[in-house]
Amino acid sequence: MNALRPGGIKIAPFYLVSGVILIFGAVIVALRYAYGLAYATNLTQTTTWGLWTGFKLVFVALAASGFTLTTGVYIFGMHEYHPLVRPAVLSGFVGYSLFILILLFDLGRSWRIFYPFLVQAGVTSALFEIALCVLLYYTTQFLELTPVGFEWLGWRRWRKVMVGATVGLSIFGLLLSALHQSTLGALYLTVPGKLHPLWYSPYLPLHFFLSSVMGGISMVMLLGWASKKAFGNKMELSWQELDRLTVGLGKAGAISTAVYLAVKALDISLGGKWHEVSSGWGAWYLLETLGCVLFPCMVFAYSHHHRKPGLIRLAAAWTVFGVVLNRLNVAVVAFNWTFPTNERYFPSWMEWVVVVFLIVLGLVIYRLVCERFAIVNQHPDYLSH
Amino acid sequence: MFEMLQDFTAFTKSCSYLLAAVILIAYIPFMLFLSRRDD
Repeated sequence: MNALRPGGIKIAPFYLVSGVILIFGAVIVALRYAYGLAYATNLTQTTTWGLWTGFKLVFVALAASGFTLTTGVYIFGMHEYHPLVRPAVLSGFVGYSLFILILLFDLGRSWRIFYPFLVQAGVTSALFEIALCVLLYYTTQFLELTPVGFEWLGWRRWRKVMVGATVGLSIFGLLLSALHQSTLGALYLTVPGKLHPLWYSPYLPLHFFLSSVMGGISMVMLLGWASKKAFGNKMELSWQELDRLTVGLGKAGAISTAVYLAVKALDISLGGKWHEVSSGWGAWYLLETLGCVLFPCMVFAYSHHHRKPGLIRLAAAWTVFGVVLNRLNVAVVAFNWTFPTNERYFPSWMEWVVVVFLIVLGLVIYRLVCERFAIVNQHPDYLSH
Repeated sequence: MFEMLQDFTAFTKSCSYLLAAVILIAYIPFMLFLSRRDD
């Protein structure tokens, strides 16, 4: 237990660079609150959702690592992946924390964030459902992580209680994730005239859910690799074991990307949108779907078949990039696509800085927690559990 | 090209059914390729 007690922050180059970015980002956030959204962003009355909204979608989609892996391990019984559950749930928790932070920055009057629950509950609104699901799922992820804290504190009885609730929490988490991941897509059903036809679809909720699954699985593969790189022998898995698990996850990556691609192709066909594919927007759409979904799908399949974990990680990184591109296309690039070029929204440098600030903040929190708690390894007092 | 909405939906639906059939058939060799070397 003493080995896991806080030992002070090491001033490694990672923390030094991160510290500079975080201080600079905090100044920009302070300016945003001091002078308002109009000062810090390029948002207008016609484009009220911009880069920060796009990254809200990105953070939630990539935070799907938690529910995808807990579903696989605790509901479908794939217990060999258990060593990756805690890193996946922690990354999910950090992802939702970033979502909440960027939401607070993006809301005009962020101090009213509790209004949907206590003052004005618009129960028929998609945003209300998202707010409720995110609140409940954030709590669920916190509860899923409590055994880590109880191990650190040495509270065996409480740990046993929370470990006993794991399966129930996983089922609840899956239910909530399926609801709000898809509802984030449903938000854009309200803007059929504003979103380019190639991205607008009555099946957007399904697209968002399926792409979050493929993004979540890919994040698990990358987290395993990054944790092993960062923590080396502290991680309980050897490189050989990690490679074997990565090859297994590669199959899930291939299937999830193939299913998503099939649904996208059927959507284009059902909407009669093939002629749009040959336009300039179509080239961008093909780059997203063929370049960032079909290509990784083929690499996943090839490298799973030939047992090449390095290639699988490359495909996973490419898939994550594809999910980021998809969310930014829906929220920013293909949004208000009919506007003349000089009226189109382009994020200000301060909006980009805040996004980088949040990503670095997430990395720092993830690393600090992994260094001090039994996330990538088993706690020495609970090796037999 | 299409005079009525019904013509449009009939055309896109028939194309989609054909595409769905092609996708389902393509999934068989895809899954066989993926699973061939699994234990």
